Amino acid sequence: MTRTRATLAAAGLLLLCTAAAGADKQAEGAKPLRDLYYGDVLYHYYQDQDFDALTRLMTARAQNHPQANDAEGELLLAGLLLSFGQTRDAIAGFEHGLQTETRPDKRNQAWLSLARALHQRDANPEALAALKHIDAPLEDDLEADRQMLTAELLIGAGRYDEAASTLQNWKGSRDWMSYARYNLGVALLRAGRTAEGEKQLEQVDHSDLQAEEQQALRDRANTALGYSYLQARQWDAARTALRRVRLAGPSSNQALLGLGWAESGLEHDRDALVPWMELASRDTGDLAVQEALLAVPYAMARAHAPTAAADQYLVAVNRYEQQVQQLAGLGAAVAKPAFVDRLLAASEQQGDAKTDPGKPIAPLDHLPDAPEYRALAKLIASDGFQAGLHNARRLAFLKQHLAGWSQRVAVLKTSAPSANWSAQSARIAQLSDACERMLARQRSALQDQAAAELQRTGQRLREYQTEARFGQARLLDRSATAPAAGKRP
Amino acid sequence: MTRVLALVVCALAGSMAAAEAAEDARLVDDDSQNLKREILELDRDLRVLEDQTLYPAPTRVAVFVAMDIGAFFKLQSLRIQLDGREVAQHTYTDAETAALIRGATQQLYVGNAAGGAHQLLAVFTGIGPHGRPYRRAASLDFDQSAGPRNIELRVGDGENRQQPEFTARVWP
Repeated sequence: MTRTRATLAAAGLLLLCTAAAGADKQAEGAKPLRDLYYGDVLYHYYQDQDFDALTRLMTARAQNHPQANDAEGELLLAGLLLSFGQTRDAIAGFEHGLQTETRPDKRNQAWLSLARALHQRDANPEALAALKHIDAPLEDDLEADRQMLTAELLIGAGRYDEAASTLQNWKGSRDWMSYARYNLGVALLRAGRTAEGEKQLEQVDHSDLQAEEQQALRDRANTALGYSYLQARQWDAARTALRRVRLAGPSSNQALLGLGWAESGLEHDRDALVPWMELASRDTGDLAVQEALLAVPYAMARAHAPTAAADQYLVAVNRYEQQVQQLAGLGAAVAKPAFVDRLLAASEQQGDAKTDPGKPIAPLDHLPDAPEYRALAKLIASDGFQAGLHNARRLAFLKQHLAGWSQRVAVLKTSAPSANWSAQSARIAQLSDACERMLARQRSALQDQAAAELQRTGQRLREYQTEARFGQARLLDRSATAPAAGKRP
Repeated sequence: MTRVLALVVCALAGSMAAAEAAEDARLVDDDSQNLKREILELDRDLRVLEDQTLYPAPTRVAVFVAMDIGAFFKLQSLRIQLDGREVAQHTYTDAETAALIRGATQQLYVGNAAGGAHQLLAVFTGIGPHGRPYRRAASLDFDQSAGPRNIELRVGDGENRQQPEFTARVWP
């Protein structure tokens, strides 16, 4: 479940670092600025120039400026390192910095914000570990936030009973209630506590929230409910739940597939054809559509229309073949470095003009217009892939940054000679090469993920195609051996 | 049964490929963090070395800009002269003044001054009370003979007179 996680995590990190900075004049009880150099760090931080803030802060600490080196500075450093993808160093910094934070509410709040930021970066075990540091209930909304995040992480880790326990007494705002019920319902279903889970998901449907995100949540709840009923062979209940899902929406394909199975379970095979044929007319790239291509002839055969069924099996074979051929072509596109470079270029153009690589980039709203990106849209939007793209972007930025230093040092060697410049030049060259190699490795890792996804998809399509061929062969075989009308056997 | 086995093997192969890709991604992330740490440390060392080389402590002069909440003055630009010579000027964006109002300080200038007496003059331009164009100056006489000098230029809110106050001082 997601609830605009990027926005929440960014807000949480800001809260974390602002609480750490303590220099915000508008914040109650803010500490006065004692260090002009630390103030300069904040000058860049408050303008979302995270990389500049980070490098200035590291320099200020090395030059022993006081406020940069105390607990505030340490926590701000940890927050900036986190935003630059330095998860391990950030966590160590938080653990050390928060030891001296004597105010338990501030400390616990900081751990919550860190956990959310880690979750947004797909560092989920670390996020759970951060939540364990919270040693007292937080204030109202924050406590509800903590419970929700804990449950999400536990569900992701397959610890369903624990997730359900976390949410059983959840008390949060009305806007969040549906999300809590959905998460609790899913956790209970996956823990095998079906009746309890179904009860929670039914409640999600009864909420009257209308915003698009909440309607999408209601669709997901009804889809999960419908599939739970299908598994229990409660066909009528499944049909009722799945009929509530909107025909156009992120859950519609899954719901149409399930609705067909509910009708089929009730032995209403002609009725099953309605959702399945609608689904079969949609994009073959979708998994539910691929299954519908087999389901349609299955229903036709059961409805005593073998000839039509055999024809539909052949349609399925051909559509699978087209999709497989299309994917085969995409493999070559994904293998080129340009596959990742175009994604990086697209991410640079999104949102506002700020390209501070220290800041997280939002998931891609508009992919490059090419078939390989359309086919892999779900993978590209996934947290793991996005984390890899962020890393590639940072590495590309650092490579450029080092090139800038190389030029500066070349000038400084003549204008401000020092015995140290040669050694630094060598370091710059060595790390530039290392950065180039790492960028290539990151690019390659992303390409491998994309190739693995294409392989999985292709494999599945071949399996379905085999099923379709067998289905058609069975029908043709049956019609060939059936006695002709009026003839004696 | 053979067909089922073939399907299972294919499914397993697909899962293994995905698991390998995920493990590779984790290793890349780990190694990237190590490399980025080295680069950040190099950047820090280069900045420190550049600072020490270009602006050694005995002659270093750094000028910072700070603001109160800006109740009576919207800062638009600032010019600095050191011993009659212009050394820095800056035109402020809304984001920059917002950062200053939040309590940050801007390092506007860093340079060198020989030992002895010096004069700093700062000219602030902006919009004053009642929305009128406003220009004021602040000056500071300081002695560069006891190590680096960090000077703060501040736009204060003079509550008593309902007027902005412009000050310059050396931080201890």
